[in-house]
Amino acid sequence: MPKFGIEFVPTDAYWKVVYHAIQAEKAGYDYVWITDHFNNRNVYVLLTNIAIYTSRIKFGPGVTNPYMIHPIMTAQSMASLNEMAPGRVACGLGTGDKTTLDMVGIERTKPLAAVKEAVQIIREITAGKTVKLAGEVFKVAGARMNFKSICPIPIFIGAQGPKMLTLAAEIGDGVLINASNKKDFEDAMKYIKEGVEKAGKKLQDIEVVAATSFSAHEDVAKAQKAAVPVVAFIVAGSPESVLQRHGIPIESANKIREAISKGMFKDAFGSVTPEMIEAFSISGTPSMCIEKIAELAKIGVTLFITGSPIGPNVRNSINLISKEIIPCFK
Amino acid sequence: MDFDKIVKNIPQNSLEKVSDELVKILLGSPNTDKMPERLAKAILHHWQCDELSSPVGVRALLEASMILEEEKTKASLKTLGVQL
Repeated sequence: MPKFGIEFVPTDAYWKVVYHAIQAEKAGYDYVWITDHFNNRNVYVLLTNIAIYTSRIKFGPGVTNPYMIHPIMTAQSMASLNEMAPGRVACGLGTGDKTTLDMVGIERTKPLAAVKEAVQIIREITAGKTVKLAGEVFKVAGARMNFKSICPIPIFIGAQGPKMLTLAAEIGDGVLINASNKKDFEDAMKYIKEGVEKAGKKLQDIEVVAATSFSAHEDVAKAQKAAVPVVAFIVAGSPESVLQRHGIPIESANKIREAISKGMFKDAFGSVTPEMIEAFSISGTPSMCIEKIAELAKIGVTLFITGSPIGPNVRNSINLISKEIIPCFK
Repeated sequence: MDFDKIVKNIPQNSLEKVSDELVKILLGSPNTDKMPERLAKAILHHWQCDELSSPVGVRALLEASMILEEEKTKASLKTLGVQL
C-alpha cells in the first residue's frame, strides 16, 4: 500500500502553508514536501515552522537544486532540521527546473555528476565527516560541520530521463518522478530496476515516488478545471518524447508554450485538452483518483504525492482526500 | 471591539461552525500582509492542538479575520447569527 505525501508551493503567506501542513498531518499524510525556488518563500523557513507545528509527519524540500544551493548548505539545513525533528526529515534533490536556473544565470552542466557529488557531500557532511572532493561539478577543499546529524537523512532524487532514473535508484533512498500517468511509470520502472541492481539493492530498499499534479473534488468537472493551469505548464515544459508517449501533438504543445511565453495565460489554458489533463494529472472524483493511485501502486509506486493544485479549494480537497482516498490504502 | 464578549455569546454548539467559517475567510484572504505575527502564531498553535473551535481559538480567528476581512467577517457572522 502506498504512503501519501503532499506538496506545497510556497507562493502564499507562510502561515497558510503551515496551516495546510498541520491539516495534512491530521489528514493521515506521511510526508509534506515544500518546493524550493528562490522566487517563493524560503523552503527552510517553512520547514522549520512545519517542524514546530507538527509532531508526526515527515517533511523536506521537494526538491532543492544543487546548482542553486550548494550541497554543503543543504546538508547544514537538513542536519539542523533533523535536530529539531529527529527522523522526520527527508531531502528531495533534483537538477531540473531550467527556467529558474536561467533566471539566475546558472548553467545546468553535467546533471548526473552534480547529483552524484551532491549526494556524496550531503551524506558525508551530515555524518560528521570531513569532505574533500574534486568532482566534476563541486570542489570541496576540506569542509566539516561542528555537529552531525542525529540520524541519517534519506535522500530522494528527482529524475525523468533514463540515466537519471538509474542513478537515482542506484544511490538514492528514493526516486522522485514528476509524473501522473501510468505510462510514465511503466517506462521509468525499467531504469529504476537497473539502478537498484547496479547497487546490489532490492527494489523494496528504495521508495518510488509519484509526484503528481493532483486535483480531487466530488464534481469531476470542477476537479479537472482546477488542474488546467498546472497541466498547461507541464505540457509547455515537456520534451517531445514525453508528449509522443501520451499522443499529444507537438503543435498543440507549441501553441500552449507560445501563449505562456507571451503571458497570454487565458489562451494557454484554453488550449488544454481533456487528453492533456488525462496524461499529466490525476484529477477527478475520489473514486476516479483511487483507481489511478491503485494503478500506480501496482506498477511499483510506494509513495504517492498529491501536488498542485490538490483541488479547487486546497482545504476542502485535503479533507476529501483524508476521508475518501487515504483510508482506502491504509 | 470586545472579542472576548463576542465569543462568550456564541453558543457552544455553534463554535465549530463559526471557527470553520473564519478559517475559510482567512485562508481565502489576499490581505495576508495584514496578519499580525502574534495571531498567526496563535492560530497555528491552536490548530496544532485541536483548539481552533474552542473559545480561545475562535477568539484568535475572529480577531485576525476582522483585521484581514472586516466586511466579509461581519457578513458571515451575521448569517451565522453571531451578535457583534
